[in-house]
Amino acid sequence: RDQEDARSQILAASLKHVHRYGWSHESLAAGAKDLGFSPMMHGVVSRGGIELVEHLRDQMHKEWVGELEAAQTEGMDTTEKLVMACRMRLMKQADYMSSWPQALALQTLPPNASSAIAHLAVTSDRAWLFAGDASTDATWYSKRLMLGGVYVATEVYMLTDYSVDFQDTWSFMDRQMREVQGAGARANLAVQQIEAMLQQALQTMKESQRKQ
Amino acid sequence: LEWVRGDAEALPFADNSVDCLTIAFGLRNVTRTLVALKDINRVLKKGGRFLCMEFSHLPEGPIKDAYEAYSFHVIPPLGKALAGDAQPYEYLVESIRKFHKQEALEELMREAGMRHVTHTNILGGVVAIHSGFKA
Repeated sequence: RDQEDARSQILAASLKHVHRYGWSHESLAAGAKDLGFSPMMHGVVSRGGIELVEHLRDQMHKEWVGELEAAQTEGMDTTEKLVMACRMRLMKQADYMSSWPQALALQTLPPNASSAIAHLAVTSDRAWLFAGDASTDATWYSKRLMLGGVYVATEVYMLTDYSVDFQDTWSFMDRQMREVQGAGARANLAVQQIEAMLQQALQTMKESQRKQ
Repeated sequence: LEWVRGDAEALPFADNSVDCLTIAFGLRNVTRTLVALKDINRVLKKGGRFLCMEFSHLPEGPIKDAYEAYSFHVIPPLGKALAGDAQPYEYLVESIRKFHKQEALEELMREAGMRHVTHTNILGGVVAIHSGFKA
């Protein structure tokens, strides 16, 4: 439909203005002007700046998934693969680092938070898939939660990292991953113990039903 | 600020000259809604926005019935008591009842050439804000 087209065109044209006006309706108005519309056409993007963040977020994700499929991981352990996947994803935000604090802040607002969390969950899952995770037990959840935590901490660290090629950020992420593995192993053990307890309880219930 | 007096059905402005046009509690009083909407579209620039705030309609039900009872049996006598004249207030509530429903007004806006037409209800529909853009 032509309505969807106008909105997508404006979003695409507005990204280059983010450096100047941030994730806001001013950027959208500038993008609309570039396309020959009145700046008032920013109103077509009804939720404003956050839609621009979401547009870029989806675009980065799509590109990233394609790049993961072509990536080489010979001789890398699980942690190295996870770091590689997250680094590839986070680097896509590098160009927007000066305005990224605002993008993150927008995503924490109540109307926007649940979709941001959903996106983090998808990202975490995709990274684990890349690292070769085939778990089917409760550790599936604990792994993704942990990676989500590391990813967010790294994303925030990156905001004030001025080292060449964000070297400090990748070192930070590597340290966090390895630290969390230890915690992860303990958490996995706890989770597995709970699982075993629940199965025991279920067995006991079945047996007592059979006896009746 | 410049003040201009004119006719909503024949606006004294050039084609494609205005970024945004708003009308609040006025469209209801224009005799031919579509004529006004077409002229509004004429003066808007490409991508320019039209915003209309106007009394609108509640969905069928007890709240609507209560609102109608209040409108027709309380407002005119109140007008008589406070302003000395009931007739303008009878006109008011009748014009509210006769005005287009939300979706019907949206359709008229599209017929006039506007796109991305939406509306937002206030107080469940007692008032509605309509928005459209010149294609």
